[in-house]
Amino acid sequence: MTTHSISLQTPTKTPSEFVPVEGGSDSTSAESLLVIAYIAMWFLFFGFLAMTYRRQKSLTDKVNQLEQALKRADSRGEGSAN
Amino acid sequence: MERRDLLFNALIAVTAIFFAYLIYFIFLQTPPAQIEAGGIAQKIFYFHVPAAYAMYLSGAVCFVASAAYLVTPNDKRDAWARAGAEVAVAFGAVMLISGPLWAKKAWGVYWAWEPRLVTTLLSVLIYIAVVVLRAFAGEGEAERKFAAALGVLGTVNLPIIHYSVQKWGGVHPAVIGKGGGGLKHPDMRTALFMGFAAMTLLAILLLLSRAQLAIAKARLGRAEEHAASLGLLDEA
Repeated sequence: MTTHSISLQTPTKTPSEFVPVEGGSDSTSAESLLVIAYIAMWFLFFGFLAMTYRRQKSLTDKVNQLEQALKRADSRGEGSAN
Repeated sequence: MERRDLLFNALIAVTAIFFAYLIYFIFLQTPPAQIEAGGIAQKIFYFHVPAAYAMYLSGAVCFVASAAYLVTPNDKRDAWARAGAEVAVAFGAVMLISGPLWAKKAWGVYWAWEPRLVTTLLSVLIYIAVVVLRAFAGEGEAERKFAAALGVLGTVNLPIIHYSVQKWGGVHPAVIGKGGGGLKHPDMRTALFMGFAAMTLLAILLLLSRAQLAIAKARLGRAEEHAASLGLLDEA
């Protein structure tokens, strides 16, 4: 990845248009940059959703475990009451 | 199904429809920009700028909840602070990945060490610190308070990002707003505002789901502690 320090750049005021950075080159295809950007964006969002789903699933498993423990405790309580 | 679940599902449907129409509008209705702005690569703009705005929005949620938590700590405030930071990282990542790809065409380089980019990176790194801290440092009161303080700090940096362009210049252009170069075609403005609306809906959706998850996790944690203290979990 190419990086350039601010010292190479000419504008000191806020530009209202795009000013190419000194030493840069725009040889990369605009179409491929656009496709990569969109793929990366959707990959990130779906990854985030998948993480949320996984966390939700682990939470559900723990709730089930807790419910089973409570059921066992309840049935023990009923047994000792009888 | 509960009324709240119905509303949440309706929000998912509306967001999906909005995004589908937005993609259609961006690619089939909006004209490509001038070559200096990256030509067809400029279409990244309609997600890049709204993602930045959605990061601000999530950051604001993180700030309010973190500040509230520091005043009066409770699980709900901690959950919203955590959700705000997580969603801010997601949108920040979208912005930091899409921006350099567009910059390669418009500026000729992927990255420039200039004020707006550096302050944005700093903010995202602060939110990442909050997320990592909350994920791996345990559920103690001190860890939660430290994360809340970081959440406040991350959001204090957001206005600096916004005004860095006006104060310190740099190569990042001001396209919209006062002194900006403007969008050349009315459809470009429509696409941008639709992008803002779509990202707002997505941010609300993600914030709600992450906050609900964090609240449920905190409640479950307390219930597990209670159950363990009664000796209920030892047999499992």
